[in-house]
Amino acid sequence: MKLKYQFAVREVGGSVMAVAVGADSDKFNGLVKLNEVARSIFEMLADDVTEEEIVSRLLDEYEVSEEDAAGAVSGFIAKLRSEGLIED
Amino acid sequence: MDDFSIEEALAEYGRILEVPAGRSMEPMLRDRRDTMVLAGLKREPRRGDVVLFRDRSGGHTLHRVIKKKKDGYLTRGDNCVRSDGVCPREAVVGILEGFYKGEKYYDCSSSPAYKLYVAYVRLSYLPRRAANGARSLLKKLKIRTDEKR
Repeated sequence: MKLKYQFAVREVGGSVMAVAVGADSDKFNGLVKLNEVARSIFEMLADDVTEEEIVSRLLDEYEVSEEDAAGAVSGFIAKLRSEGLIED
Repeated sequence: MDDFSIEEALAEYGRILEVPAGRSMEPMLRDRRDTMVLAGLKREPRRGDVVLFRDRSGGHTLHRVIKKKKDGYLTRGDNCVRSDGVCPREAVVGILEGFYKGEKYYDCSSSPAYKLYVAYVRLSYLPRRAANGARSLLKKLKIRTDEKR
């Protein structure tokens, strides 16, 4: 799975935000606000990845349990799917 | 994800990331390619500021303040030769704080490159307007010549 649209992820006054760019900005004109972990997941989803691969990379980056990482990934991806931002 | 208007998003977050649509602010802001940081208004806009305002069609326009007027601001896109007319003060909802070209960020209040660009836009306006006028005249003459044939 991966993100359906091309996004630019940028720092904005201490926060991290993402907007669709190029032709995709006509299809999705929302604003995505990301915390640190969400940003990592979001950037991984620019390429085709599985949930397991994302969890594995998070475990390399952060000192969290596998259960917590899997929960965070699953929850965030479900949220992105509900907004129509994921394609399989 | 919550549904916000730009005004609501600015009120909620103070600053937002946006993508410019259209070519009126090129070359600074390229249509759907660059990204920009818009901030809510914390001070009165000045000449040279790029402001976001509610336009007559009910949408939003992001153009540069050329002159402050009694009842608002005279604005114009950097890639335009005609001004928009006077934008009322109450129509202005935000101000351009900075922009990204690729990964590189330009802060409108401090970037030397940006200040040079603003000076160029101001100084090149009359020559660009004259060139545009000459092009229009040539086009009209060509049409008349073609009609006579």
